[in-house]
Amino acid sequence: MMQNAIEFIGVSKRLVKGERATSLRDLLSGNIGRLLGKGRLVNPDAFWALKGLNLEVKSGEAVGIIGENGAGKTTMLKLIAGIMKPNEGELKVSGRVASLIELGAGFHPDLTGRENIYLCGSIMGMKTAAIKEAFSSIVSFAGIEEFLDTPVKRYSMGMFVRLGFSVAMHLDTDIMLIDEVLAVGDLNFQAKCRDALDRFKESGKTIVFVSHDLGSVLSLCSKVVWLSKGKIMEAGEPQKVVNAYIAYSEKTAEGSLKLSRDNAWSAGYNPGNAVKEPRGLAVSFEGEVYAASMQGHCVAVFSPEGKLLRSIGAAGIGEGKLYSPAGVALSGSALFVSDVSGASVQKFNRDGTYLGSFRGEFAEPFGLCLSGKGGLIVTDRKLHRVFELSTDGRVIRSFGGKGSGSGEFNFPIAAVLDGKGFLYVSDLNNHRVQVFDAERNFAGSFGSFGSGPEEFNGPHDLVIRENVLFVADHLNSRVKRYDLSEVPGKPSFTGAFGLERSMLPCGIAFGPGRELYLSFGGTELIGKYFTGEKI
Amino acid sequence: MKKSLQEIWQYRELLGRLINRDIGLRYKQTLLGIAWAVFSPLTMTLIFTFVFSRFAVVKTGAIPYPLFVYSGLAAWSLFSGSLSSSVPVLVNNSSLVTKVYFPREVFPLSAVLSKLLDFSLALALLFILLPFFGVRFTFGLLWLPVIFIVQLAFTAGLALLLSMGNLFYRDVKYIFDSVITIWMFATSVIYPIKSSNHFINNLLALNPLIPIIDAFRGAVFEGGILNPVPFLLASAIAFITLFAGLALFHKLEYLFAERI
Repeated sequence: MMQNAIEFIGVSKRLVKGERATSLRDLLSGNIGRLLGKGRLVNPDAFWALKGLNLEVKSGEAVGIIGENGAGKTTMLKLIAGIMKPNEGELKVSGRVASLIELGAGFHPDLTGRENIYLCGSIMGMKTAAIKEAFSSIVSFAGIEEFLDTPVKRYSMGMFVRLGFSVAMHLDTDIMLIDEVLAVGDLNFQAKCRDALDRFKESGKTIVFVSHDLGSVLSLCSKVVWLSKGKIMEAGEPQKVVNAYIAYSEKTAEGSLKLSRDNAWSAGYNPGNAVKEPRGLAVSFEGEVYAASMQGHCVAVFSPEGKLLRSIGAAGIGEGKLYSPAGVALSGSALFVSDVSGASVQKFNRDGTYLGSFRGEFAEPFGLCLSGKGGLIVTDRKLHRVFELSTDGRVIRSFGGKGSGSGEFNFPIAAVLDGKGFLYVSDLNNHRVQVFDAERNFAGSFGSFGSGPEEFNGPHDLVIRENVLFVADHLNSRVKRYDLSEVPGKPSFTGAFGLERSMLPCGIAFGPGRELYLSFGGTELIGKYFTGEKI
Repeated sequence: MKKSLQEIWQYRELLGRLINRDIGLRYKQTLLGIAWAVFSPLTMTLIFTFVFSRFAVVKTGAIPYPLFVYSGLAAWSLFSGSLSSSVPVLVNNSSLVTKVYFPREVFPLSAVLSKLLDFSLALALLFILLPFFGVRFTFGLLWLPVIFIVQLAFTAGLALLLSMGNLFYRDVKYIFDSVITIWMFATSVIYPIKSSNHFINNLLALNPLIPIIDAFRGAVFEGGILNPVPFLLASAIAFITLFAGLALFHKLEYLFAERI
């Protein structure tokens, strides 16, 4: 039976988010509150970074810790290192600990490499004699022979980090804590680090290794712990834990909802109904996301967390069937869906019950938006016209026609109404957005082809939130913002959010919070973005 | 307490290295280098001598006024300089405090001890000046080590408390900046301090720096400590401060990383 090098017994650690009370005023106001009998004031920003952690690390074991940012990985290392103490539970550590929580933390920029090796070594608890002995090995491992007498402020980042790692690798300790440091230096140095760690491991020392690089974790560690929100989700055989973590994080990838066909399938839905070529998006007040899945032949409904709740519409053409759904609009409990191939706009209940369809005069209805009067506005990309429907589906009026002049369209793909009755229609092949007043007279247009700040390359969906118009600039991979509050019907450009080059936004919608959803053409992805306090 | 001292002892090499670092860095890239250590007490001495010989005559007994001021300033700057560099020392080294474990006492202690070099130089200059003013060397000088140990104990204790206080509440630095100026004028640095007011005298009795600096002057100029009782009291205060500082620091040390 091997001895435990580290043992967590029900360890919990409370931390405070953001700025702590570091001024006397906070202290005084806090204590006055207490004096006035408000009881023990609990800091509202405090949270459990670790909660009830139980873990044994055998001596000589290499344990990998994985988990999303803020899972508590670094806190765990800091507890082991003795930098923090647990609030609850007990932590037993036997042996001397070296922490590589940050490389070169002990370096002083004005001191030379040589001076820093001594300083850093003694900060990490090495005796001068030991540093002297290891000195030449430290220098050659870091490869900084020529720069020994140069102040480290003149070092490159790579040299700095190499030196930090090198000093740490020469510490004579029993337990080594490593936080996300292998991703530094060139490949050659990384290989050296790997070798050094392997040797460290072979010499029977204990390693606790925190990394997002799952490959390094798998190759180094004999045990992996997956932390999430301060708790252990799974621990044990590396490959098994890493697989479970990957499966989990694909579902809840930070900042974007990643919805793959497999997830839909595993959720028990018709695989043909999975999100495929998503287009229009709509979000209910409860935060349910309705995504028109153009090649999935349905409208997929997701929870705000990205869980597939249901899919609406059976594949096909005809009543209650969807073949190429493109636009969606929510009105109360009703969901309108435009089907390009079916040349229809269908109406469903939000639970998926088919309620009816409007066929009217359109050929390839694409964009949908609610009109102020309870009806619908439909853009037809084949007829190059915009239709306004009454509540019962009658065409009240239509306007447009193919062309590039004022009031003419070439692939009108989406429309949106602002609070003052102005209608904005994105014109895909003319690379512009046209504005129409409440009487649908042409009121202006903006944008032209290009990749400049105020130019478009295939503008897609539009959305208005808090008097700001957002346009998905499809082939430019960005979302543009226009302020609508100045002159009615005259949007003024206020900037753009850039996306990854390969992400081509189509649909765009806001959730009840300020979260922005985008659907990406050519993919099976819907992204969720947080826009912050202010839009 | 014992554990804390043991730990500091274990890391004595680091303490030495930090002191070296502080001293090395202080005069790096300066033209006059270490000469700055005597330059500022010297200029202050000239200014005060000028002011107090022209506008307000101060009676300093047997001690020539320039030497009175110079010795006072030398001892005072050891105290105030040590404290001003130790108050922010934990905050300034936050990356180390949050990332590596070692006894954090070494930071304020090194800040205090690294000022000793400046002081030794100032002291050396004082000894050079003595004969010029007709002051003779006496056996009273043997008291100097004792007096310095008392002053260092008091300074180190305060340094531990203040650096820690500043880590938790950044107001401490600002309060310290004002208090240290007032404190100088409430100490016999540039004039012998005494008041006709009973209350103020009692208040001044609480200031251990007065007997310490008086003892220093006594040892240098008058052959020994003239008033041993206040000095004994000051020594008691000094060591109580040091032990309180060490104990409290050790007790709260584990909070530093999360509260900084």
